[in-house]
Amino acid sequence: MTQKLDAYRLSEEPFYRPSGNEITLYEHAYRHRLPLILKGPTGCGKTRFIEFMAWKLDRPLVTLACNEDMTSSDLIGRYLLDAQGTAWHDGPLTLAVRYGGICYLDEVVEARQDTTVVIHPLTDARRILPLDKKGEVIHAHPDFQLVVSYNPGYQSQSKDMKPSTRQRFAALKFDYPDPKLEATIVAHEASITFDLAERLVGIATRSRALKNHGIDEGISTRMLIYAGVLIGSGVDPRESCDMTMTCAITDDPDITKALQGFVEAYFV
Amino acid sequence: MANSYELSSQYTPWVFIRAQWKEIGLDKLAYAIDSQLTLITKKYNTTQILDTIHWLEILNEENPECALALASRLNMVLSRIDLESFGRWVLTGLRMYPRDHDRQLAYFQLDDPQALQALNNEAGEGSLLAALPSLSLLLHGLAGKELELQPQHQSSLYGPPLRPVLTLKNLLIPDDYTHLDGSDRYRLYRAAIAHAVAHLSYSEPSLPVQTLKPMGIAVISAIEDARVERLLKLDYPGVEGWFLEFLRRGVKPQELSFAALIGRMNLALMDTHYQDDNYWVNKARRLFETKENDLHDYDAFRELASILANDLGQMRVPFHITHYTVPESYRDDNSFLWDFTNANNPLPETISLQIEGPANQEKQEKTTRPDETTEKVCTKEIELSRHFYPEWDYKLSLMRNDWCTVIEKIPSQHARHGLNNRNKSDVKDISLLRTRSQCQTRLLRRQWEGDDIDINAAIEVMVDKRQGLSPDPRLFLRRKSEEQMSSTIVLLDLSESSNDIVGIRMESILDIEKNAALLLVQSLVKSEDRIAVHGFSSNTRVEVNYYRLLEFGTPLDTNTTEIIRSVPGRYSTRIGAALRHATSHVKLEKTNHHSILLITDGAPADVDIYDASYLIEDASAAVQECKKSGVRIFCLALDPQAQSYVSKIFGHYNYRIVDNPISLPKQLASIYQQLVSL
Repeated sequence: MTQKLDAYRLSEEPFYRPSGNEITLYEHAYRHRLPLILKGPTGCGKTRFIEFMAWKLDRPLVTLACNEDMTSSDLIGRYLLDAQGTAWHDGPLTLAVRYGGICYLDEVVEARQDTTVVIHPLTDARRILPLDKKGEVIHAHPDFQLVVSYNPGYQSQSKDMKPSTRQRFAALKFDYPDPKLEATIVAHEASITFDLAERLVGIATRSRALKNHGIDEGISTRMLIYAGVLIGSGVDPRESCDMTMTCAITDDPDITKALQGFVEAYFV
Repeated sequence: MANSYELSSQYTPWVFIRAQWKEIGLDKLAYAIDSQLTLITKKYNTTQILDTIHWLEILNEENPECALALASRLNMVLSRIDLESFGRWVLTGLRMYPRDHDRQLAYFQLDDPQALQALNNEAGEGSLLAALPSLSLLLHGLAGKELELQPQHQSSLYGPPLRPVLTLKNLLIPDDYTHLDGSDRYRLYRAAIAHAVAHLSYSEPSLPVQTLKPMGIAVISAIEDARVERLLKLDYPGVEGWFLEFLRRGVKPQELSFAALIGRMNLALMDTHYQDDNYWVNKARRLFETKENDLHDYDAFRELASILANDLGQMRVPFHITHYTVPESYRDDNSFLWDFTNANNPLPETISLQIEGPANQEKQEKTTRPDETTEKVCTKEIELSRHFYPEWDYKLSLMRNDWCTVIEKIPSQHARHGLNNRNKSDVKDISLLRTRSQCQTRLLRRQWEGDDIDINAAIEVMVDKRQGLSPDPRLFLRRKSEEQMSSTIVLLDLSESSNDIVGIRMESILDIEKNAALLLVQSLVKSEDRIAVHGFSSNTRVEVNYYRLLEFGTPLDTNTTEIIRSVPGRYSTRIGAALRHATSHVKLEKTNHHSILLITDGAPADVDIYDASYLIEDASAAVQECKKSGVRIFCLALDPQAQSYVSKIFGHYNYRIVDNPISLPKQLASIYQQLVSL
């Protein structure tokens, strides 16, 4: 039966460097199938972490990027028409529940709160998924685990999880790795020297100090990797940083100029 | 000419000054300004015109002929440059031709090609005022801590050029850099910031001077400057270029004065390619390089500096403390490094003048403003109603019911001031905001027509058809632009501290708050969104004054504008009670979203509370209550040190610290749009 999820298995080990004991904690949580929230700023490695854990635990990973137009049918499935009549098609959540995968709802707060309520019976001791339209109740496969991610930086109460949803999860908090580790990650992912990666991380660290002083979030590890990739392919470092970092992160001319100052402080 | 005179006669502050000038025999200068006033009054506000007149006044004290020449050409000069550049252009002329009256006169008559060149240079360069917001962010990011960046005004025409002043909490940047200091002033400001960051990161501040002589202090300071810049270069390789540009610019290779030798040494210590033929300079470089691998050893470099200072003494190089200014315009005056309290030598005059900082300048400015006497606050206000609110006592974990009395009042009609304060840049901000749309789109399901098929509805249609039932034909999806009507109260902190003067324009924080609120209201003229401007101050828990300055749905007319501008800043800041009252008002609005945007300049405080945490905890409780009732709250804090208490009160994401008050209108508009579009 698990062949249905074979397409969702990761064939190669994703590159991930732990910044704390998150791997051990996750393994413990998975052993008890605790639903998990991964929370942290944009581009700090949440998705990469869950990919790594799915690979390490040898479980299929069913990922769904949430958005505000998403309905519960998009999660659990719907009847579709075929030559014989109507046929039920499992949604990604149902697939993971039925066949035993890790279901990862990325940026879960982007979905409307009434949509995410369908996960409630899956995230307590019952571990069931009622399919009302189909008249079926699925008992979750023993390997099933629900993991959601979100970025607490959003400044909206409407884009927050309901307390009744939130309290069903254990949480792992992510942040940008410490500078040395972040430089190692950037150097590996972008195939650049450690010294160059360190400079990029320095720029990002400076930008993160401006959080709540004009920008909501600083430059992410992902942006640094983009910059590194461009530099690695021969683009001038300052132009690479402008393209992937300063211009990308803000439209405000004052903040742009300050960020360009950071770039110029690191690159002659 | 008659028209000019007529206009100038109506221009009250100028009439006042002209009468004074007449008494002291400055008729000619007054007449020259009369003839130029027509155009200037159209372009600038009262404060700015008074600043211009002040420049002419002090130029007249030094050289009446030059002042008269400039006054007669005021329109021409001001048509090319703004007022900030005007002061610098005057200083450029005086510094270019020191003690040469003929050439100075030619400069101010615009007969000297250098004068026109200087005008062009000034016109092409960015102002300190415009650069401050980005420079504040650059300083914050590089230093990694909160530091207030302030402009420093030059008040003397023939005084030495100003140098930045660094303290643990402030960096003052001179506003008198001319194009003689650098062709691109932003790069100069940037170098000044990097140098300050070098001191903050690697220098020990306030070391006792003890028996050091002024020359020794100057040499040790220069070596320390070089040491910390070298260290900073290891962190930020790019800053070497920032420093070298100005080190090279200031160097005078043939001169042997103390300042010239220090300048040559400073360049030699940073630029490996620089060749100098002076023995002392080369000795300094050689000694410095022997310690190059031990840059963190302050004592070793101080010993080195003492040797060099001793050499200069033996070389009989004259040193005059009153004439000495740090040669590089981006480097600070080094007062950060020294504590002169127990010094055997008197405090160097140049340093002591600059240490006074902005507070001293504010006092000076305050005493020279002729219209200030009219700004006495009349406190007769009309009380409208009283409301009682609870207050949270965190020590007892007790909500004290009916503890605070909020008194709604109509502010008194006291002396109007600053009604013409709005300048051109503000007007530009308004037009920018008008273009923004406040619409939100929503996906409507089961529509008669639309852009896409609603898959669930379509399947039901097909199922119904096969079952022989009559299907519901509403099977489309449609995106609909929906007016998400919002109601927002801009809540102004009207406490005494908001009267503090900041920035080059010498505006109070309160005036900046009011201007920002007025601009925001004006920008929403064409919007369906509803906005109100309220303000508060407190004088113990029994008197939390609350002013509904602009009500929801009320147009912003002249009268309302005057009311907003005239409300005084006084007493204290009891944020909790004010927020609870503002919430009660905004909740009456029948719109989709309710928000309160608080603008404050400091932590909550009141004279009847001695525990600094008490009102912070209460404000935090009030914010939680507001959130529970569905009101969004966001705070704009005009205090660079606000991080500790605003995050406690408003949560980690519902505030923004405005490092530079000048950027408040822009930040307020941006936060407002963010709030209403969520």
